[in-house]
Amino acid sequence: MKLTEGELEFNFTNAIDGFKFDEKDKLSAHYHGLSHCMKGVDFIIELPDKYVFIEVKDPSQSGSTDERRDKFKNKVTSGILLSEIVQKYRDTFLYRWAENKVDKPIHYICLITLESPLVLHLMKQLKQQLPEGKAGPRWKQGIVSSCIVVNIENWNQQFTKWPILRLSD
Amino acid sequence: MYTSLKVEKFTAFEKLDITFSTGINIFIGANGTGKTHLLKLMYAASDVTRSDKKLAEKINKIFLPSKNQIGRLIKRSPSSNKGFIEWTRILNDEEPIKIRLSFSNHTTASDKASLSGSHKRWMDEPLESAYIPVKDMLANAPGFRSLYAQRHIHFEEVYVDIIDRAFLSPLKGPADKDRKRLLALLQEAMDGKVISKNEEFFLKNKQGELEFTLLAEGIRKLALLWVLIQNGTLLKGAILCWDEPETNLNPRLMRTVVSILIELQRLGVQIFLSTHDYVILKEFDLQTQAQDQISYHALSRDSETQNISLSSTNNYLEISPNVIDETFSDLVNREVERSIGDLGK
Repeated sequence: MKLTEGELEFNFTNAIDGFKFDEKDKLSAHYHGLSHCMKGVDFIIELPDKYVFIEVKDPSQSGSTDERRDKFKNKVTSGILLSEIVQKYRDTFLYRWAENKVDKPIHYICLITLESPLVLHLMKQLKQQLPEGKAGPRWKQGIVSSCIVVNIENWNQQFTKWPILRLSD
Repeated sequence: MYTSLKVEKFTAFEKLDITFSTGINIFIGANGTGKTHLLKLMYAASDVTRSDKKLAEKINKIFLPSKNQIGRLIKRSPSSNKGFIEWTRILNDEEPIKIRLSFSNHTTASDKASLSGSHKRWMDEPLESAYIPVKDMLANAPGFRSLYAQRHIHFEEVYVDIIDRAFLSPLKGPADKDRKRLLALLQEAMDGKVISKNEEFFLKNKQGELEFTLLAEGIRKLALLWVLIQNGTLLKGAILCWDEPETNLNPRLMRTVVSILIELQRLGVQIFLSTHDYVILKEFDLQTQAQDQISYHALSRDSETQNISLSSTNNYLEISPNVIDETFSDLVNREVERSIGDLGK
């Protein structure tokens, strides 16, 4: 199952299904149709026993200007990036709930091309804002099984069945 | 100002050839890759120009080989070994001059090591320098110098030297604008200025005079830097070697320390420092501008040959291998594994 975001091509070799979540093409089976009011992650991958939501932020892509990189840096330091990835998950979860598609545990992976220390910091913040498992005292089920942030290096080490190809190389 | 250093068969090094930035040189690498040794070498060849000590003797005093046998500093090997250290510096934009110190593992006395190259010119042109060791010494200053002078105590000489530098009297006349600015930055960070009375240092602020032994180690580091700037040790053309500035320093203070180091570089001080710290490295990346001169030197040990190799770059993102980043990357991987186990494997 190959999917591309920007210049990154992902191959989810063990997926049952996988699609671009916020599909803009009305003729596509996965047409989103609510992008005016709901945010969405980039991909949803279905495995036999779980779903994986994937969000990709790649400020290091080729052709990226200093201005764009600075803008991204500001997003990181101001916390806007964090709110964005949190909101994307929540809206996607709600959309999928309405589709009756939250029948398996969901994992959330944010691929963000940042240095490892920043990745670690962001992961901690994400886990604080998007509590994993049955986090609430009255909850009977969780909204996310686990959420993580990785850069490409970590991705390649961890997700050996999901190789990434940078199309500009 | 140094332009390069070559070493062969010295301590941990089989062969190393480093080209320096005229401004800031940062050594990174795992423990045991020789960072401190390199800083000491840069310092030794500078210090002898103002102390008139013999270079080989100075090297003995700061490396402290057992029984003062300089030959023990030759890289250990089953057969006999000869090695050398060669420094190159430029004087007033002229042609570079070199000196080379050679000896073998059989050389016992330091005066048997041979010194070649433009030795006389080297010594004739004083090179101001300071070496800041990992451990603070200012708090232990009272009596330490006289003890060191009178008795054989097993202390690397860099510890005495830094106290000597700190006790130099202030330059005559008012400090110039640049120095004033740097001193003010430090005063703000440590909330006071440094005074000395009878070989004892104090931090003076609104609360009164505080003994150095009562101060946090991190503040003592800032205080030392303040003293070295105030007494004119760190002026244009000087060399500053600083072993792990991050030790005992609160990460919040690192921003100040790095900004002062960058400013000193702009004023013409050549800086050599070693670090294990991400924040220090990142501060340099964030605070340097296009006109600043900075080189990152990554030292690593080959797992097969055990030899130490060097890779230098002016670009933070190209530091390789970057042990500091690898450590964080390993933490990310372990956190990811803990969160999601073997997903995607």
